[in-house]
Amino acid sequence: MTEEAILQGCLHKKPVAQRELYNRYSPKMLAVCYRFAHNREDAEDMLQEGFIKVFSQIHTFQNKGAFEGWIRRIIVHTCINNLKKNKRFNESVDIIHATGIQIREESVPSIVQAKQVVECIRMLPIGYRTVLNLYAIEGYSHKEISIMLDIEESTSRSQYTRAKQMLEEILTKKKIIQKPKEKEWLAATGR
Amino acid sequence: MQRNIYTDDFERLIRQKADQYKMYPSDQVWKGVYKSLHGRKRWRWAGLAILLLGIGIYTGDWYISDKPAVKIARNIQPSITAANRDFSADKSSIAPGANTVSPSGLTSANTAATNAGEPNSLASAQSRDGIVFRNNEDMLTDQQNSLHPVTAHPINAITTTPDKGLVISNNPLLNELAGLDVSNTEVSRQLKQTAVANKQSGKENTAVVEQVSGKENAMSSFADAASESVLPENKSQNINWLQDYAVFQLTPNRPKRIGLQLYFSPTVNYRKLSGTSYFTTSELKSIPLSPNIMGDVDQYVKHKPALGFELGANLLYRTSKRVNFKAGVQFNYSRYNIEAYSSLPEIATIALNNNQAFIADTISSYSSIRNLSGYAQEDLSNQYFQLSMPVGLEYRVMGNSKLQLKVAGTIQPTYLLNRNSYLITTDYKNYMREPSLIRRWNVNGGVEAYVSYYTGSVRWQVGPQFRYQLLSTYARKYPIKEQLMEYGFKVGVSKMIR
Repeated sequence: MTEEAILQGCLHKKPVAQRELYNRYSPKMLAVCYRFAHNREDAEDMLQEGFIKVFSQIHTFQNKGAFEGWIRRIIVHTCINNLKKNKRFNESVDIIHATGIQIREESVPSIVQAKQVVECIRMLPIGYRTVLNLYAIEGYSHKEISIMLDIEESTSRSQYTRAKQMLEEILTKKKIIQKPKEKEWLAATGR
Repeated sequence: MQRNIYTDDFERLIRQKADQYKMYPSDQVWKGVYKSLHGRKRWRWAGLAILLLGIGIYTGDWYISDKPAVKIARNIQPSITAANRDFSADKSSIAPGANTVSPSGLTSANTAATNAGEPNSLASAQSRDGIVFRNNEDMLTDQQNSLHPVTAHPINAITTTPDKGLVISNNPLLNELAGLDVSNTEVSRQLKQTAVANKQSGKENTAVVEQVSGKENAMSSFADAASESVLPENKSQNINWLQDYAVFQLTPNRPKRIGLQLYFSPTVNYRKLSGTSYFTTSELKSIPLSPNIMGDVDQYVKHKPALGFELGANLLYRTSKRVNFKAGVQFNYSRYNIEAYSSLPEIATIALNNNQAFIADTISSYSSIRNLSGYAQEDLSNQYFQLSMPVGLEYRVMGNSKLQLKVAGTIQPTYLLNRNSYLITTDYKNYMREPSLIRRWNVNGGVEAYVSYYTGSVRWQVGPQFRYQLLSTYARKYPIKEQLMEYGFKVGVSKMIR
């Protein structure tokens, strides 16, 4: 089915079209939810809630942007709303975590897997992770993030900077990325 | 939304890898979404069905619990009312307590004494001769409608007392039917005489003590009157009264035509798959790189019968001595098991029938259940909850008034309450759930043969039955067809009610 046919079917509440849309976008959207959620079960709950919103609000979609982008925005907002209901998230998003996290060094995988990067992101404290997800991956500005999370714009910036540092450290320890010095040395030695 | 510019490799890497990552949600997520979007509609129908079933059961129960005596009372009520007109003229002259008498020969235990301030004054009246004559409870009250005693207390027609014999209602018809020579009319006449006697002796209703003494007088008067009432000439008068006021008013005893039937049947359920084959126009070929499987789909699935049941209620209408028409409500629980295998989630595709193009539409989903191979065996159970309205005929093949052999057939428009059964993909590789491809409305046919046996007015029946689903379980666009079959042993009970 074409995207247009799916959209029309969903507007008429046809179960076949709804299922098709769900099948087409749910794997990507579950990955989005998973990056925000504590675990897979929470991610699936977010996804379910998000898709219910998508189907019930589909008449508000105007063909100005990409359909996937519209769905993604609904899913992200659903994830944020879910996290905001969690008291622990509200506390952690304002606290700058000074302490590092223990990272176990692993043997270098030959191919950098997307899953490994996502799992590394999930190792970050929830406040860092949320800001990093929104800014670096979802493309929201710090101003938009501050409104979404009810925090200062400066807090968003500082959270992101620290999140980025921590993630770099994790990825380096996991040998998924290399530090610049190492890179230069590896390049010089021809490896 | 303002998009960021990725200034370094790090951010680009993060974004790229995060976007590449995909996860496959479990079936529960879609079930939750679907239930939220379409669940209410289903409950609306289920609620309606339950309401209809409730009304049916209530109506049936009402008819069955309607006592025969009430019906007799209904039939004779006009005549009694007519008879009461005679009483009403003289009623005012009758002292309330005067009819509470206890003669030596017959005892009139009139509970209407409560109206005169003497509760249960003679309720424990002892019978000396073995028969207690029970007058109408409300016979002599002030209201005219109290002269409808049979309607009010029809069941009290004849009952036994602990000490001796019978308590006889003053309902003349019932007494007459019971073979007793007692007439309400006669009793009433005597009671009136008693009241007059009481009046004359100046002992009417002034005090309880006076009433009791008045009753004693009344008792002796009544004893004479009651003994007269059993004389042959009085008996003939009673019969005449019945003829005048009651018998001719009774409707002739027509055979009952409408009955109620309740039944239950444990069933063994199975299915027959058909549709796509190598030699027919196969939708499989529309799927790129799909395996070219030869033969009927039934050969490629392992399914096993399972137990279910059928429960229902019918209204019967006797059209002739041999034929009954029937219609009702029926609930079926059917299921069967499928042997399948667990696997990692993979794309499962169903090709749909499309008469207008060479390339078929497809529905794809993620399934972790395989048909032919996998890392662990998994038994699936397809369950169907169906609500039907069977309409059909019963035919008496042979038998007498007690024992009969009958055959019956029904057509059953059916509504499927659930649509969560597993479908096999058109490449026979996976099983998946796709509610939109399950048909809500269907038609079933049922045949049965049974032996019926009458115990009183109730008919019991036992015998085998077979039910077959005439249309496929699946929608037309799904190329594989499934016909459900049920073999059962029905046990039923029915009663003609009017």
